[in-house]
Amino acid sequence: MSRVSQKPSMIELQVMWNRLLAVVEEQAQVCQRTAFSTIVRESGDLAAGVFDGRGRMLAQAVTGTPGHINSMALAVGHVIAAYPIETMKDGDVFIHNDPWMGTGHLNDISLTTPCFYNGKLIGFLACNSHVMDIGGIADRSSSTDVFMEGLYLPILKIVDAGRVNESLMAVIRANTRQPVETVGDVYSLVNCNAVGCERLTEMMDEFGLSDLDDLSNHIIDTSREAVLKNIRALPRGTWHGTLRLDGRDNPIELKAALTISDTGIHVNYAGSAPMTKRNFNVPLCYTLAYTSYALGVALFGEVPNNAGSLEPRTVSAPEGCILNAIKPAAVFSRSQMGLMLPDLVYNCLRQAIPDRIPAENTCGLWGINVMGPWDSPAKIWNRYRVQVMTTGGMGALPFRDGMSATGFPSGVRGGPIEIFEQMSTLVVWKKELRPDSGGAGRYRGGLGQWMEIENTIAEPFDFFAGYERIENPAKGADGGLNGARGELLLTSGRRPGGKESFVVPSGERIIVRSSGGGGIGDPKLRDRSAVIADLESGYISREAAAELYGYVD
Amino acid sequence: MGRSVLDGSELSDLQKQIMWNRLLAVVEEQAQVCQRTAFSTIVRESGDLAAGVFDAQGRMLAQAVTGTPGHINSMALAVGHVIDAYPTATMKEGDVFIHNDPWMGTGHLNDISITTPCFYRGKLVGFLACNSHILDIGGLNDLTSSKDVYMEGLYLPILKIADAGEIDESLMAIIRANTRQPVETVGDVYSLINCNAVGCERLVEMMGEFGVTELDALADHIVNTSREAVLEKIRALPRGSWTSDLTLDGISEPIQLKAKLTISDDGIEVDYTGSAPMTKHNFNTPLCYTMAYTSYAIGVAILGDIPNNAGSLEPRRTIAPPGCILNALKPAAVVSRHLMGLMLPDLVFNCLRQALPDRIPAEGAGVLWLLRAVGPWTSPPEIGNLYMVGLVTTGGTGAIAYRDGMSVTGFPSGVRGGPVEIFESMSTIVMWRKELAPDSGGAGTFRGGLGQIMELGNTLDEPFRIGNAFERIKFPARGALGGQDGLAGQVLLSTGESLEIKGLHHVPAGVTVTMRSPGGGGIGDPKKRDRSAVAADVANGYVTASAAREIYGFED
Repeated sequence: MSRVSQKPSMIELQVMWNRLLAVVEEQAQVCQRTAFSTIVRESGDLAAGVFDGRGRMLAQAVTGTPGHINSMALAVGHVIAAYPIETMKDGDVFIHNDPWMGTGHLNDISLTTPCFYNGKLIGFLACNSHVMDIGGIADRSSSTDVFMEGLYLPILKIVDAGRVNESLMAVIRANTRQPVETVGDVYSLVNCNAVGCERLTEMMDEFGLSDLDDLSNHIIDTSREAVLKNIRALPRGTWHGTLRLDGRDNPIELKAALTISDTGIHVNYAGSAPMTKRNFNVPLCYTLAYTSYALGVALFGEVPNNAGSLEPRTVSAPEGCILNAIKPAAVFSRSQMGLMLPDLVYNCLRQAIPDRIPAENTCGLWGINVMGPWDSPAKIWNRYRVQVMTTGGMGALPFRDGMSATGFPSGVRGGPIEIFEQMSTLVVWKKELRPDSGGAGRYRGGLGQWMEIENTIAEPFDFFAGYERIENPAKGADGGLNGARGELLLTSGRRPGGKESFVVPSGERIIVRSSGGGGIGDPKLRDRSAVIADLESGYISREAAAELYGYVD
Repeated sequence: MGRSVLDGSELSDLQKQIMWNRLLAVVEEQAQVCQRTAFSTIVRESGDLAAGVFDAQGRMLAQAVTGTPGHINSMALAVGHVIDAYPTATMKEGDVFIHNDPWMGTGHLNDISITTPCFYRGKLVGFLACNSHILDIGGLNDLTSSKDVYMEGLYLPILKIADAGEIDESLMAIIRANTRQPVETVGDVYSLINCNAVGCERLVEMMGEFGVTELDALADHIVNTSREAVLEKIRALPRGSWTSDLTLDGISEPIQLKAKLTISDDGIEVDYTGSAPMTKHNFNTPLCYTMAYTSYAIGVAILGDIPNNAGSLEPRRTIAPPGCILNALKPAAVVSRHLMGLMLPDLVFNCLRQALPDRIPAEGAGVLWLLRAVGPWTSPPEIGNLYMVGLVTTGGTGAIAYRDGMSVTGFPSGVRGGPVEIFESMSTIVMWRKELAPDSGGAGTFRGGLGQIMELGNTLDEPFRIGNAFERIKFPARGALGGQDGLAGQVLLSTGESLEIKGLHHVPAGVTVTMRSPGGGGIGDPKKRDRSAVAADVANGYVTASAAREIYGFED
């Protein structure tokens, strides 16, 4: 407690760095444990982090999804640009959900809290989470500009020197179908930053720090250097990749050029499709988030995420491109494009380092999103709206099978069917791994799932689809075969579009088959005991074993 | 002014009448300030606004003549909601309240209401209130597809937009961020704040001039005199209850409205029990809007010359069960509540006509035929480079038992038809034809007013979309007392396809649209129509020679 003037040693800096990771983890846990939104509570759709006095991210909680985490790294900079630091007071808290300054759509609310120690602003705590309803169109697929997507909060003070802005809170309360939950979530976010700030100042007390400058320089420089060291071990050059997605009215063609140089890795999306009139346009912050996540997870998984480790990963996309959509584009379903970006980045990287990069994945989530009446005959307004997360298969790695029914890259967990059934009148007749959906290969792609859902009451229900990889399967690599396409059909035989909102008539089932991951390597070279195990587990059929794997028992 | 200060109780009736007239000048100036400074074209050009002065208890004392009934009569209640939310004891000079709550204002989010407490010598003496229609408040902008109020844009509960003279910049930033027209919308909010400020200034000047420190005595005079005048008119009417109904097109199924109108010594009550329940579409009507058009219908038919204020409105009562389409509950979709509301005068008149057949018109077109078109500015189209433009057009009013109905006239809204030239310059559409539709007025001794035929197409080789938010395509305006129905409306493509369902419709490149707004119903046997009037109608092209012969039995 008496070393204020001394420079901390390297060991002390490392200890404090670890302590910061504990601070943000507690911050995130407070948010998750106090959240009202089910997707935050159950699936951890949030991010939390600590920043230095200049707005550079020092540490972030492991909990969270890449789209939230890596875009949050930039959010504090936007707050500082809107409200100069010298005007900030102890007890101020800033709120916004601007898609272009946050996480890409209005449903994510971001909170930024300047943290004061001995009367001086020493850093920021920031967090964001997904609220279930922010008003606007409720069907997920039909918005054609951002104004249809709900309440738009520019960067504003939700708390001014400790005093909550009740007018602002009243506006939030009035503009959501779930006022209790949404206002509760805002308080949960305000509070988790407050807890983070408390822990941060406790730590400073304990270590006798008056500011975070030395520590933040250490963290940022060390992390940047670690990333650059990893990068310098890679081959230099530029590799091009493409990815064709289903889109809605016509396929969406994405292109990338990935350049590895001494100073970092740059991904340029020039040549990708222009913005669409649909709602899966992607603000650049979200493009950046999933691009840097893809690079991080493939190349420098062990280096913590912070301003230093993110710096050498850069992204460009021309304005007006679907990956750098401009306001007021509709962006609600920006995840339908954004979640696919790791595949595109890997289609480039695989050419440089084929032994480390997986085949294409399902990437997109296969959420089951429904709305229907609680009663038969239906009463206006007495209806449920519920979502359960489900997933498809991952691509095989050159040394391992792909994982089945796993939410890569989102990290969002599949939800339990029991809760879904209890929150609706629907019954899930079937939810099982889908045989032969993993792309055959020496290493097999992960399997998708097969689900069948029907209403228990004699009423239709609404189904809001938002899927990819129905037209364009996850491709195999290096002689491996493609994963199975996703499928969406009614028992009548009708096949609704993958991004359509439609009605499931009374007495009919909706069948959802999520896509599988691509395989790697010639299936004929697959280890025979692995083929046998797949057969026994029902992952592949006897016909597939014979025809694709050349297996005869 | 040299006189001793009065609390108002010593004012003579003459002085009170002079001050009452002065109040009418105050609110007229207030409304003019709003209209002259508004950014919204529908406020500027068509006067879609209301402005009024209220006493310290929130009773409306006077309102500007400018404005539409849906705004005016609902505004009369808005100040009461503000007082409920913020007790008058907590209000400070320089406070200004804002809201667009459909259930506490004018029935949909596009109308912003502003209420300003007015202080004189440090004491709250009354309120100035106003509202106007802003063109965009976010949300769905096709006017037909919202399913709940949350899809219809920014919802502002009753909040202080100015606190003791200081604007709440956070709130203003939210308004700015949630509209496609930030400059116009924020400009309109300031225009409304300012027109109340001007009204308050004039009110205070008047009080200084007349040497009164409060409005209580004047308010009692206005409210009591007006109530008494209305009751006197009502007591001259036959007593009793009359029931009637009205069938409207709706979307998925027709909408049946029912009313029972009762005239008694203490007023007129309209009970809408038995009308259709709320719909999943967006023409549900909050009760405030139902009341507004009901009391307007009664006022215009029976009490024409009595000014609108808390006293004259009081004897007109409206009942509708909660959950009925005319008393829709939050969170129902309400953006197109005028599709029901504007038809209510016909329903009220269907009751009243039984009591007063000589004074009540036949059914009319009612709803405005607001033409909305959306399309690309360029060929090939560029994303985001779209026009979206509206043109107010109208149909015919019903005949009265002593006069023909008026052609293409916006009853009951009072909203003016817009100029085609402005519509064309704000789009790539050309209006090939806009003329009175022959034979569209219901035949009768007195003929219904005519609708009009409009033919429009794109000058670009591109499709465009056209919004149908019309009524009376399936169910025409009915004639009365032997008069015939007006001609129903129609929306046809040159391919022959009918766009009769409400919604935003696709018009392929090269195809033109022909719209015909409905005519009003006729009154009395057409055979008894004055022959010179039939001859004039034929000469003007209002009636074709064959209709003159077959329906009117006219031989020339």
